[in-house]
Amino acid sequence: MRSKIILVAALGGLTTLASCTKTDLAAPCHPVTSWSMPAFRCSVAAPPPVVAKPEPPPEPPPPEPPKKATLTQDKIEVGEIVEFETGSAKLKPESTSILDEVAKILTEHADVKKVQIEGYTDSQGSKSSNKTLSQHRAETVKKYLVDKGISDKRLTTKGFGQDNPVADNGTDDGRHQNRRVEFKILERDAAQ
Amino acid sequence: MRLLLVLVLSWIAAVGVAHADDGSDAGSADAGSAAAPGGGSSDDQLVLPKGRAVLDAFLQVNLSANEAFKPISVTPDIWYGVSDKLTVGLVHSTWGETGFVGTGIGNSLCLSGSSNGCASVYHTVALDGRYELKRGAWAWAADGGLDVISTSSPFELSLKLGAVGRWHKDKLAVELEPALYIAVSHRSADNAMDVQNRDALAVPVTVLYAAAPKITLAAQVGLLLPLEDTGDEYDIPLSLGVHYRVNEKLDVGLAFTFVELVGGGDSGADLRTLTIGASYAF
Repeated sequence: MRSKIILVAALGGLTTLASCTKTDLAAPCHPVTSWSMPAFRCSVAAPPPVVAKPEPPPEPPPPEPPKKATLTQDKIEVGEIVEFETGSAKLKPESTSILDEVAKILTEHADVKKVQIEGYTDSQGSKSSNKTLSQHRAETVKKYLVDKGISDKRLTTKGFGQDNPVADNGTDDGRHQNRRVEFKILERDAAQ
Repeated sequence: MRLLLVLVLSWIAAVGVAHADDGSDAGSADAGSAAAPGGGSSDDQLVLPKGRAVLDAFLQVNLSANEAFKPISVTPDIWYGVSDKLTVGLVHSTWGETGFVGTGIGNSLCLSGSSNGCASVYHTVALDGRYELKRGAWAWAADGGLDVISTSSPFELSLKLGAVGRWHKDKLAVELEPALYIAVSHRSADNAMDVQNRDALAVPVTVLYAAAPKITLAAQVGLLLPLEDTGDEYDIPLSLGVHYRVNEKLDVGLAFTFVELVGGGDSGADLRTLTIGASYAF
């Protein structure tokens, strides 16, 4: 009787276990012949191939700073005021980059035969002293350009003092704009 | 009982130590295994993948002198992967219970009747569990369970504490399945004619050789060692077998066994069995 009960229980167990199985033969495991059953052999996935990290795209070159000087038909326009020490013809260091660009334009454009460097001041101070100061400032600019390799024969200077203001001398901003240096093309080789 | 407790604790400790060395060992690629997809290697394991099952069925035939075909028994075993680490089995064959091929004559569904060597129709059953300790070229699993050695009176129950190991390289594999069987019931004989349930040590060692992609030859030797009357009762069986892998799911084979080729008894080569088996993986 006991053996029959165990037999029924065993058959029930067999049925239950069989019904629980998955038949996923796609699994990377398969039985192997063994006398210590059950034994399986399972694939061990290869480590993923080391893929070289794609080189990041080269960074775009930094945008060119806005040009501080541009060549037009009759002048070299400067985008910033060429600054000098107050009441002096001494060039402020931060303005040298403007003049470097002017020098570059003159170097690249040999057709520009002659340029007049014109100095201006605001209306503060006497006319004569302003004229003298503006002349000195123009000459300072010329000397800087000559030092940069520009022939002094291509450069002339003229100080206009407080004449020809471009802004209101009644305001700080206007006076700042009037204290300026301009580069007027006097002679240009049209053939080039 | 004190001895039993010591043995159980020792086994648990041994399993714990082995488990502590549970590093996954990528086995070397061997000629007997299909290359893993994607260029990986393949690992042997002595447990089933989770959700998979294997049904083993054996026809065991006594071929002993003057007792041929007495008895004939059918022993189905089913194994189920509870998880990727744990496999349980409902086992009827001595092969499945002990790892020894062909030594259990008349086990489980014994079909030839009591007059032809069957003690009872349903004579043995075991609940077995395996816990994976290591996979790879050297695969190990802790193995234990409860073995009903006799369902009929006297009811004999043993506790199995063991391990199973498999080493393979190229076409060669070696397996061993040492286990200690501790008699839980019927430890003492009722009378002089009664055979008591005894503690025993079993250490089957099998060598398998892949002779062809689908054909494997096997030879097994080992030691069956009762812990009492050891000198008189020990056995060293020898089995020779061949397997044919029909497809990835089905494997068939047969084995011829000298049950007591060497031992305390005097049967020698007279006690022989033939085991015909099939193993189907679900």
